[in-house]
Amino acid sequence: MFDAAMTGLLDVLSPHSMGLMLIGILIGFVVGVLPGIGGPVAMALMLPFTFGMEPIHVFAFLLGMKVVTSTTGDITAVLFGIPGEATSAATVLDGHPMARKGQAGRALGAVLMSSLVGAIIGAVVLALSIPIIRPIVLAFGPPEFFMLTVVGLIFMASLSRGQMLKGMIMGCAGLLIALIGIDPQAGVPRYVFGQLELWEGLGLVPIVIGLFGGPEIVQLMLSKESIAGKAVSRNIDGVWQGMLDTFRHWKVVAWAGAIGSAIGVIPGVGGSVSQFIAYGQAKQMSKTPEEFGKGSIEGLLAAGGNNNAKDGGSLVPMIAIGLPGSVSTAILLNAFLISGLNPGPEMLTTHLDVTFSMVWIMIIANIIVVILALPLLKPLARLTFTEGPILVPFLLVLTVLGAYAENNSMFDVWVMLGAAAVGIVCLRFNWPRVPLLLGAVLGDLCERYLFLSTSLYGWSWIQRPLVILLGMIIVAILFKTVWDVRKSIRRSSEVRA
Amino acid sequence: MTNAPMATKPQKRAELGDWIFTLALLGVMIAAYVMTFNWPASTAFFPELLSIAGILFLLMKLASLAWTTFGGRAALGGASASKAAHSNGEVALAAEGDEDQGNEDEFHKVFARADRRTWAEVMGWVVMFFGGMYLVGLLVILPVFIIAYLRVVAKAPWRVCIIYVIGTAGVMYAVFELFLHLPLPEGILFSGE
Repeated sequence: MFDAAMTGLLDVLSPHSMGLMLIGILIGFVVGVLPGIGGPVAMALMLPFTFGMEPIHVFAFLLGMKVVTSTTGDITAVLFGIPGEATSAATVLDGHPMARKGQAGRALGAVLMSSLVGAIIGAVVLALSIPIIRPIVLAFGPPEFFMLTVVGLIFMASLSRGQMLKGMIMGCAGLLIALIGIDPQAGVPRYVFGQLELWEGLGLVPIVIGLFGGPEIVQLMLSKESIAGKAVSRNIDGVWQGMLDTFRHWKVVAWAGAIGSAIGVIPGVGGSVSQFIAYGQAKQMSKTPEEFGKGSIEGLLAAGGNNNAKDGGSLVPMIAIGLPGSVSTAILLNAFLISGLNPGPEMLTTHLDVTFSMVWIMIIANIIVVILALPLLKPLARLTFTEGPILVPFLLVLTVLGAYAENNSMFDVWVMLGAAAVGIVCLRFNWPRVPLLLGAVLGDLCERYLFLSTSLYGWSWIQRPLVILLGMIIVAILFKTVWDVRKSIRRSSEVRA
Repeated sequence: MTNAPMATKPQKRAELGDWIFTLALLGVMIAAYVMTFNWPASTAFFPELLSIAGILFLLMKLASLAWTTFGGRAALGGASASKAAHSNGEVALAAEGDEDQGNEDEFHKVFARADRRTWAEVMGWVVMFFGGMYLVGLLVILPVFIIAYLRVVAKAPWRVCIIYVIGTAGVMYAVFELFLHLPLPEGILFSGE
């Protein structure tokens, strides 16, 4: 195993691999900063260029690109509140408030370093879990997947602790939004109102961009102030401080990385859930949970640390049993097959060096990103002090491109506008947006796994041990949330008295 | 205490907004439930489950709103309504949420303070951009919008406007059309349809 690890490292460090990795990283950097054209689109566009390449070169190029887009997608989330992908939504929650407080440099430094640490955790999990992962992945059936989606939703409700009922309502609304389109089980169109564009459902990227980016732009247009506004702090030099924060709060990053890689392993559930579970977990652990959502460094580190760790986890089932857990891993699986590799036992025996090369690529590519991004962070952070009206046209273009680019559809732009209107109403009347988003992300999975569970096992699936365990976790989260709320009500009653 | 009357106006407006939003969502949930009647049982099961849960939560929310608006306030008067709210879980939570929103609270304040004229101006610019994009396409409306917006709102000099146009529309054209060969939104007037 050690020999295979060393062979994998030497292969990755060869000039050819490093050159291709650098090209992939540069493309990924540019593409990742543009919302909407996330890792999957960039990888799909570049896949034809890999024909005829050696497997390690293919992964140096594609995987290098993929891990970079995850990291750089967080940059727009922090600076402008416009997440590049649905998986960057949790970064907005605390990263953007920090930018608004004039701490964009610190936020960028923190998200960059926590992403690196998260990626290393994910890579280590990938390396360690390869021999034991098959039985673990196979132990999860539809009932467990269904319960995991419910855990994600309940975690979300616990995050909107100040307004849990509103959170539950928005979660239900989000789940219903996810059901728009053709019912995959019976082929019946639902909530489509005769519109052909709705048959495939609403795209997640336009919803994310509209919900978070739309209100930001309108707010800038109304206030005509910079993103950082009248922030007391104008600390664009805080990049190093942000990086140090990663190590100061190492427990938060380690937990987020562990959650990301563990949930990333489970095919289909992926990063959209794990980011919020990691965020919620960090909030539960924090000594200052009231700071979450206002620019808490712990919240940002949890989101950042989770983001890249899940990529390592998501590779595990693809390598071990050829089961891709996301669009990106499905494209990587294509690359596997094109380059003549078959996922499964041979990746753990004859091609173990290739498997380890993927581990090394994840680590090395992330280190290179940090080195490349460092000189850019200060100028990027300075953007948050630019007058609002100057930024508005640029941000409008970003949102339009983000919404349009995924399907080249004007309909998605209108969806984004609708989501922006909903986001503005939510903010105006204090309704939480995140449960709505998570519901929209999870609705499809939730229904599919519930359908499969009842079809396969009737209602006896609720007696499965892992389901019971996950049910106990849900009850514990609810109990703790209600307990905390009661405590805070009692405390504020005492203060007012 | 002296500023209590000033505080009640936005509070009333927020309450009214809460009522409208809650009732609108209730309407959506009921419609979502009714629409399931014509679907096969397996298709309707999950949407029914969700819409019923949503209706129940919304009825709880309405009860909570009614308590704040009529019950709590009538019993205790406006200033001490927040204390009364503590006897009801969600009402208290909503009140706390208002103060405890962090970044969202800043947005909330900006949206709440803007007058109708400012809102109308902003909506005008948004309509110009998206309407223009629908009609003539992104690459045509973008330079027009950038120059108009920067000149009128940001009072930027022409030099900045031109650099801005080249930096956005030009770069976008180079990256999307020339390098990635990805289409950009075309207007209905120029798409040849």
